[in-house]
Amino acid sequence: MIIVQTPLRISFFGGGTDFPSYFMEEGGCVLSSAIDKFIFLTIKERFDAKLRVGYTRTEMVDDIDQLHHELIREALRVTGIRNGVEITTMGDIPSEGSGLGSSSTVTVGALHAMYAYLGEIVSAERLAREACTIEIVTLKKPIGVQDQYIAAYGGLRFMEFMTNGEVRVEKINISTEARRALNDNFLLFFTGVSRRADSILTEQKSNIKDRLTELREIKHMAHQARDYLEAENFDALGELMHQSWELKKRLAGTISNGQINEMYEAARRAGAIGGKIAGAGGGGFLLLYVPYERQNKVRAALSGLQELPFRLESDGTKIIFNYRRS
Amino acid sequence: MEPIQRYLSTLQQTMDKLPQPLIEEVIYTLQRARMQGNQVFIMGNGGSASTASHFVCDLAKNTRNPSLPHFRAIGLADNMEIFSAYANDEGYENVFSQQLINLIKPGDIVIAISASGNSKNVVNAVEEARKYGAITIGFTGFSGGRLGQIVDLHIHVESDIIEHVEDIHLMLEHMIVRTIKDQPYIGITAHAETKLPAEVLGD
Repeated sequence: MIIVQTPLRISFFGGGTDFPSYFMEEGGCVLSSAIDKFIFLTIKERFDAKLRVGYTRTEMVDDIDQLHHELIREALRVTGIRNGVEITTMGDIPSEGSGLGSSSTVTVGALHAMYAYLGEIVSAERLAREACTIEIVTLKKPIGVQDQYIAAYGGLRFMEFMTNGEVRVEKINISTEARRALNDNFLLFFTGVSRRADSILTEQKSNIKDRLTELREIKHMAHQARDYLEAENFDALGELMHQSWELKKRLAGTISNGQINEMYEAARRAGAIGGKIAGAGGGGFLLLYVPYERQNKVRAALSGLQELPFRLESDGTKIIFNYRRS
Repeated sequence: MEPIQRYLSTLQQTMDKLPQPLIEEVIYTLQRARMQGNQVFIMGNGGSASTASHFVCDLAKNTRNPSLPHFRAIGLADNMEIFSAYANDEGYENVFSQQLINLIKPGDIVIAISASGNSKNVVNAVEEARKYGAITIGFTGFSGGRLGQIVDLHIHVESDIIEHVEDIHLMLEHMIVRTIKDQPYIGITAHAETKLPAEVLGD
């Protein structure tokens, strides 16, 4: 049996510039970090030749083509495993619509577990690349390419997407104190709304050509955010996040809504400097930058919402258990 | 030529022929094992036993870094009791393989050091390790022997002079440890460049 742990992520800046249809024209970049919330994937040989996949539901089939869980089905197809295994997924968060990149986390984790099951060692780079192909090409998801890389590599990263299709994944080195400050100043709340990212992202994707000004500004902010981070100017980072969120809401009408705006405004009145809906928007998790001393006021202002304490995570997908006699 | 000068210049010529990309691959493989908590077993006979123990010591201690997992390095030539027990009861050719059977897991690394590449106990251990899905690395000299044919990564020192082969095996050990010490994130994931497949890019 093999157990693989793969981190979820928070995208701080630059989301939207990681769509190929945008960065192939102008280049894109994001500032993003893995967090210490994970999806665990197990894979184990079965006694018989069936295929059992357990998640919010359980599927028992004879061959991968009958499988409904599309991410696992396509990862199985890529790795060449057709049956005779049992796969389960378990997550630290609701399985759908969190905005924490869970779909790519599952895809990267599934590929990693399956290759390990076959006794093959593959690089983070290959896991990310193959996850992009599965999600974007095979399953035609209207998503960008940042989540796959963060899930595979982990860490706090600045990623650049070049017009020729190159991806540069750079680890941002910050001091232990800076890391602590970052961990201490961000709060994450579940809005209570689970949404499907696809419809928002489809709208956002079809708007790309009309939103070039916004996307350029978002990209510029990602560079600026990186500078603030390296200068350890965290409050400026929070303020920039506020500006970036105001801008991001213009990329698609459904990214925010009355309910989310109300929550965000309440948090701002209570002392939050900046924030954003994690991921595609429309619901899922609300990230807030709040100086430590004002956090209890913000918690009180959002008292109806469940908080998810988190820290930045430095590891990408990893095998945490591997026992296979053959 | 003076004998000492000859020793040095021949050694230098052999060193120049070392397969550098392959040594890098060994480093990446070790670093992956480190990140995934896999074990590293190292073995050899005679001078190679000494290099094996030295390697375990350096890999375990000198690569430590507060932000990274430690290497789980284990020597198979270091416990005289178990070594002699297997030699006495199961035959000298089984001293390493029998130790491995208790410990090895898929994904672990086995580093076998043998100048001739034909030490029976080393070859047996590598064959055993392969059955368990371990990754095998060989340091050899002379013709590379049987070991050179069965390991996943073969670092061959192109020399028939046993002293040179053993010198360079020790050097390889130091080279690997020093590189990891200087670049703790080598082969891990700090920086990466990659190109997305055309079909991902084509909308």
